[in-house]
Amino acid sequence: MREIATLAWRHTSRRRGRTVLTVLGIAIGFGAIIAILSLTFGVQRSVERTFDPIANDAIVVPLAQGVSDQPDTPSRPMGQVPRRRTLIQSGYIDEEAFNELIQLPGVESYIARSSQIPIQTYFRQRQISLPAMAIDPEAEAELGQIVLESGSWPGYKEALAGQILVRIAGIGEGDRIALTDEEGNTHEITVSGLVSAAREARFGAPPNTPLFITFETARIFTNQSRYSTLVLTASDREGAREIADLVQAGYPNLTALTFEDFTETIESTLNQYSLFLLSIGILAVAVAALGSANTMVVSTMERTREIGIMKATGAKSGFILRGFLLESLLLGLAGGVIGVLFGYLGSRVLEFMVFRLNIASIGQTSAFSPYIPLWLIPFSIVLAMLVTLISGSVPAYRASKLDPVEAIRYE
Amino acid sequence: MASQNVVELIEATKIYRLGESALPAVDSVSLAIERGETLAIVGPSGSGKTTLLNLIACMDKPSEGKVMIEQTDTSTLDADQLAELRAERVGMVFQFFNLIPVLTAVENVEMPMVYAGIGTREERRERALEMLESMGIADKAGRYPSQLSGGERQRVSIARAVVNGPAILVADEPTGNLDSHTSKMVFESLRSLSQEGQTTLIATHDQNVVDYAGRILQMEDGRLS
Repeated sequence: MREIATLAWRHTSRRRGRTVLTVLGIAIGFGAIIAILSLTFGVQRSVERTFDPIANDAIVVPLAQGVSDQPDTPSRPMGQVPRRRTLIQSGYIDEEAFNELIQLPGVESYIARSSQIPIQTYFRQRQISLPAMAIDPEAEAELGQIVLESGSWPGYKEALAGQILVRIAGIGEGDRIALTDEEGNTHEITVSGLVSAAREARFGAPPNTPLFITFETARIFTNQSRYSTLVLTASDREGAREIADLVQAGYPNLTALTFEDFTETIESTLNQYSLFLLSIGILAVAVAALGSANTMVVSTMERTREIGIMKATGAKSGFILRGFLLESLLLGLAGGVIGVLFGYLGSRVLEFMVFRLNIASIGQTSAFSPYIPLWLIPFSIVLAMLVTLISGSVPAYRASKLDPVEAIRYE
Repeated sequence: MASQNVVELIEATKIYRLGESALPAVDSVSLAIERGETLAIVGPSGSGKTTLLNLIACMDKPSEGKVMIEQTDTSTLDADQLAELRAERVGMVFQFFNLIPVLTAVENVEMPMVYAGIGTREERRERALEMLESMGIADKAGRYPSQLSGGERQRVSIARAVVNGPAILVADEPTGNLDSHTSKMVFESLRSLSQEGQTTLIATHDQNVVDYAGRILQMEDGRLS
């Protein structure tokens, strides 16, 4: 085997120009595939990370009046509860539904958030009209869906300020703001803490919500208990799905979204996009395979006489076959390794080109980085070797079956 | 006495077909070569010398008749069995040296041992160096064929042919591509092998070789005369 390896290595390194071109062809093909896959994996990972905190949640939101469900995917079996809905929160969940929903089987905990409560605010003699949202600080603190940047969770007549309020009005922790109720009475509220900008827009809390108050504080401003969002948490994903199905079946004006609803839409869009790019990558690999096959055909033709010499001096067909297959594998190995490098560089370039993907379906912008999982590296190299092995097998087989007398006469 | 025959040809015929016509390159040749004999085959170009050597060197099988190498009928063997026989029992020297260009002199000599699965890597290297030493070119062991002179290449080729101790050494015009001085050196190498008892069959036009041979076979139109 060592001698076969020596021969294969010397032949590949002897015809450097041709070897380099063939290896480059393979590397470009596999590099393209790796770069494309890194995009897909990057988005998938980003989606997983983004939605992981709600993995066990069924997020119940009202269906907007006049807005119907989106069409089902054709693959859904008849009779199942439709799952994809448009997330528009113009309605509300009333007290009665709220009390029923939190007692659904499988619900382990819940977080409710109010509809946005329009409030007039006076701060440093400036009047600001802004919506506040009622939250349950204990539940939010436990489940980590709203993250504090500083300060503490609000109590009665206290509020958390969102970053938008910090930026626009310069509100800081400990500041006192005056809020006016529906009857025109003014109430002083203390800012107990600030919400982290990065997580402020977590599900159920619309982006840039300026003020979070407790339900108790909210009752100062409104008599109605209205909820815009109810997050029902189960013990696992399956439980969340079951809760969502119950909501869909029992409440025609509500919809319940789970982890899968968010990720499926994004991933199916992404998969279609990736499939298109991947087909280009596969085409590149097919061209590389043809290039490799061509190299091996030329190589066997050039070395016909040498094959004849080897056979004349006692080499069996298997020895010749293994030699050429090993050469093919060497091309694949080099192409695969350089392809991984190209793929990595390509993914960096793609990162600059399409760094931010607008996940329009949930109204958020999520930053992601292309991601090359570790397993993809050996997988690509082995696949490159397999491709060149297959493309080199026919010329190698033909070479191994050459007649020594004919081969040795070849000029 | 039959067991003394290293090679035996019985009515061996090799026919090449060119379209409709059949050309007998070797025509009903019967021949017995005893162990230790040195034979020279002479004859004009196209007389069938090389075809006869190919049959004896197990590179080809007869269309009719038999070629026996140490009592083994080559016509019954498949391609790999013939290759095995070539590796172990036949040594071949060509007019144009036919060394593998990407292997050094010593590596070229090692190859028949690799094909035959003989010895460890170290043992093969040692044996190949001994062979080069006996050819007087041990100092050229690490050189590639392109770095050797014609005479040196042919001596590497002879070392390769005899490294496995073949039953017969077949040489096809071994000095045909060399100048007279180098031819002499190669001839000396072959003669030295013959003197050591190596059965040798040489197709040649070289008078030195013909003069030395114990038996001379004249070939014409595919027949021995």
